[in-house]
Amino acid sequence: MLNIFHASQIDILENFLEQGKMSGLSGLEIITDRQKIKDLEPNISSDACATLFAKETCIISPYGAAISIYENALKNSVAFYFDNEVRSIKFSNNESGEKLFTIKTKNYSKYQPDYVFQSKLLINAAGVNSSKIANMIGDDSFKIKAYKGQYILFDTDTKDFVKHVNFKLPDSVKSKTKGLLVTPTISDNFFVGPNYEYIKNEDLSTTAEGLEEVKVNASRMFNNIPFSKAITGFAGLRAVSDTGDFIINESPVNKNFINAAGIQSPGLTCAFIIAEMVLDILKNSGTKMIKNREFVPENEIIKNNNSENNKITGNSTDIVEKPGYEIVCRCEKVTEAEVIDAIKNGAATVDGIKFRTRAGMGRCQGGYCLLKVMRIISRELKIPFEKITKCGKDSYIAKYKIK
Amino acid sequence: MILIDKEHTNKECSLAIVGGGPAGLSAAARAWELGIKDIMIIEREPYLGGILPQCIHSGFGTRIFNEELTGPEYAQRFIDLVKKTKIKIIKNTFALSIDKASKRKIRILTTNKYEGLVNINAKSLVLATGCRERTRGQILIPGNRPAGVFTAGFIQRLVNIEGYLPGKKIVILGSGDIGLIMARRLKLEGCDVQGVFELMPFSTGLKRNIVQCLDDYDIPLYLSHTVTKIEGRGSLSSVIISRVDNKLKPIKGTERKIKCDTLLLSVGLIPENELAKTAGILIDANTQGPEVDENFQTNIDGIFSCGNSLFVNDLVDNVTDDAFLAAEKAFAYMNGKIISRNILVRILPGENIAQIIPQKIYSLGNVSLWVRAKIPLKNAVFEIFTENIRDGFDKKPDNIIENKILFSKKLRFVFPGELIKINIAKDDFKDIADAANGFDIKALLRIK
Amino acid sequence: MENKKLTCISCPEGCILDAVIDDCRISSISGNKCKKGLVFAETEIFNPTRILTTTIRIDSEDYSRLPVRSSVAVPKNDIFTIISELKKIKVKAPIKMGDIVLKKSSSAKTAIIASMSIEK
Repeated sequence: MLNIFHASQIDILENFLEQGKMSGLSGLEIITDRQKIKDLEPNISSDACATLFAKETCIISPYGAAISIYENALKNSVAFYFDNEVRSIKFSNNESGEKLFTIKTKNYSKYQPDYVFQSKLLINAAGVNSSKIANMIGDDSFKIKAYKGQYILFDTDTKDFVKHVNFKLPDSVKSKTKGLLVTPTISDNFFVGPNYEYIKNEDLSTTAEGLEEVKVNASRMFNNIPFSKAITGFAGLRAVSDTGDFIINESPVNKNFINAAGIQSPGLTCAFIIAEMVLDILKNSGTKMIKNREFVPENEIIKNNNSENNKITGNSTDIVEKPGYEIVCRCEKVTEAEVIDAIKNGAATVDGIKFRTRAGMGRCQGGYCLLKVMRIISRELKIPFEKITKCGKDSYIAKYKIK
Repeated sequence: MILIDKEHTNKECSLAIVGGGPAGLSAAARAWELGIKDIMIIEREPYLGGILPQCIHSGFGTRIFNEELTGPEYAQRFIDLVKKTKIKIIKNTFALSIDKASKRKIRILTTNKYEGLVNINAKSLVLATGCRERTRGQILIPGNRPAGVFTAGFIQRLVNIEGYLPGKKIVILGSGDIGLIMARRLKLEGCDVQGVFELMPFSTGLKRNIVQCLDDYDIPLYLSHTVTKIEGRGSLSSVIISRVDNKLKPIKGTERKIKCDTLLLSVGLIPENELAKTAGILIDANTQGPEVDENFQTNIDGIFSCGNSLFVNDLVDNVTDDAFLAAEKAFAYMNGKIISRNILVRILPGENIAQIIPQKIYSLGNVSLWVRAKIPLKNAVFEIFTENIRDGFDKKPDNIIENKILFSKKLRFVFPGELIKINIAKDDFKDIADAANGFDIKALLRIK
Repeated sequence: MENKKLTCISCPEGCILDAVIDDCRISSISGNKCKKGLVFAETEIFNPTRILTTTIRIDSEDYSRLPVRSSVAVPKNDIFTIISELKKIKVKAPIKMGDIVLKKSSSAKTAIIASMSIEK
């Protein structure tokens, strides 16, 4: 639902309706009957005078999608190097006269070295840092600025508060965004946000002013938002290019360097198409490609919850444990089996498990399950308690052992 | 999420108790003493005692045992007591939901990794599920989300049971008793405790804890201060502290940065009633525990609530008292002595009152009210008067005298950190009920 | 003559006591609303004591720490010495609440006992 609160904005809605129809979307309609709008969203402000209703809009879990794509890439032999910041890129001949990129990184993990990589092709998908990366090979054809958006997430017992994805059309015509959202998630709760603010560095912090702005603007769209039921605030960054569009091209200075930069909303929706565009660019520039016959297109995620196979049997006793029946996270009712599965699928940190299983995402924010999750990580990955991190780097939780 | 098996094992008992902490243990011990034979305690952890095993400090049991015990000792006394009986203790078992299988049969669906899903059927149920901590997210402290920001209870467990420190340079937000106790505990383990910061202009912790935990170790307490920003990428590097005005809003220009690797949050406890909600038990927005009557019975016949899941207590001794009462009333219910009910009066919290328990009273008799003040007051008076609002009415009926004081009691001092118990004799309560005439009454606290 | 300000911790009222100490004796106390204040001031000024609680290492299947306490209150100044003494100790399950883990000694003028029973 794209909602307007000034009758004068109806033209903009009509333009969007035409655009939508041209893109082949069906089920679009503009509703001006206030009662009908209220029927769709009982808590919407009575000032909502019209809405562009896209019946077929669906929601997915954005981090769930990202994790699925990552896990599929792992299955197809993609190697990932986390906590590695690219410090320099050189393009030069090697001993056999082949032109190669040499990429040096700084590794933030205490237990791993820095790396040097060499490659024929380089794809720049570095988000808010993509112009910095392009600059390393002398490409200054675009500039990326980071615009931060802050959100407030609510408890699951508010799940009936909002029923559709709701946007409020920004008051200013010049606005680059679709405006603020009040939307359900696939996990039976809802969130409000984002705001839109320029920031200088890669700053993911929420601010008092930003959260207040989100509260005020969301309250213009919906009545009586239950802010006392907020469970957390968070922020994300948009990579906004100075060209006003996505940048998906061969770098003007090096045809082996492909930019996929400045991808702001709707980046996730476009991700697969962008990938195909990048492939086309490579094909057109004469890169040889051979079909990989071993490619696994689907994701066989290990999911043994409740299965009889997933048992832990003690060495000395006959006691059989079925972790599918052991609740680890009380708020989201996550079982031990699900945590074990997440680890088998590649999670190695507390946040890695949180985003895969929702353990720690509920109203107590890990107060109950954090230690239980840490114990399972320690047991399954055979790492000591002190080395378990929240999200990699130096994010240790139990830093010092007491004597 | 759990996959539901087609076949559940069934277990029968007369009284089920969910929660093996101080409330659950006390209720079980009292129920056994009264002669209830078939009692089951359902506990999700592999051990009994609830939060007490990690509360290693002393100050427990001064009323119940007339001794100053530590948390583990207080728990151990009840564990030893319960172990001498035939009370069945079902550990490692999580209660998922509750429903009524029939008019006098309550069904609790449980899960554990040895037996899978098991239905426990009981004639009566005491909920003693305790409370959980408010988090950084709920009070929306702005900033990054690094490691190193934890609730007091988590750190208490990490330190006292697991034997690890979360860091060495500590900032504490919230001067409730847990915040104060942890300030001392971390200091004793060699941490550098930078200070305790409190949003309110007063501490909600006991004075003795301010002396014993902070003054003894020269740990400063800053009232009317709060954390306005959390900094650090992977792990916490610093927090920004600001003074707040009398509306509790941060004052611009008072910000200062404190380097630290741990922010300990002691910002409140919330009764845990997710399980109660599955049974359709009504929750009071003020206490966040079930709405109960003078018997601690919820709106569902046969289900009682006590301890910190009913309302957050400041002393474990009170939890034991309440649990005894809940067990006694469950016993009465099982013997048919608590029958169908009509509300006599409903009590609402008024000025300066944060919480009041019970929320409704069914029968005439001596009445005890548990009251939590919002602010500290000296030379206060507690009053009950008629309230002209009742569901479905917004106008005062003619026979109700508005704001008529029905009861008053002088209190030398009231303090948010200490629950006030108000006893009303049967005759006085009859006068109140007559004057209310079926309409709500309201309680308030004011300076005399 | 010396003046000392104390917060009485005998009850929640928390009276601020003004004590005048003259020749190692309290010559006057004011600010107290009841006589508990007098008793408190006496011990707090000449021999402040506290119950000490901490944890020590334990060899056990289920636990790595055992909560312990001083059987009676110890002088405030001895607390850190006793704690460093306790860091050298490791006990073995089974252990019962009340078992002595550190005997009275010159550094620990009171016994330190287990606060909890650990069976295995």
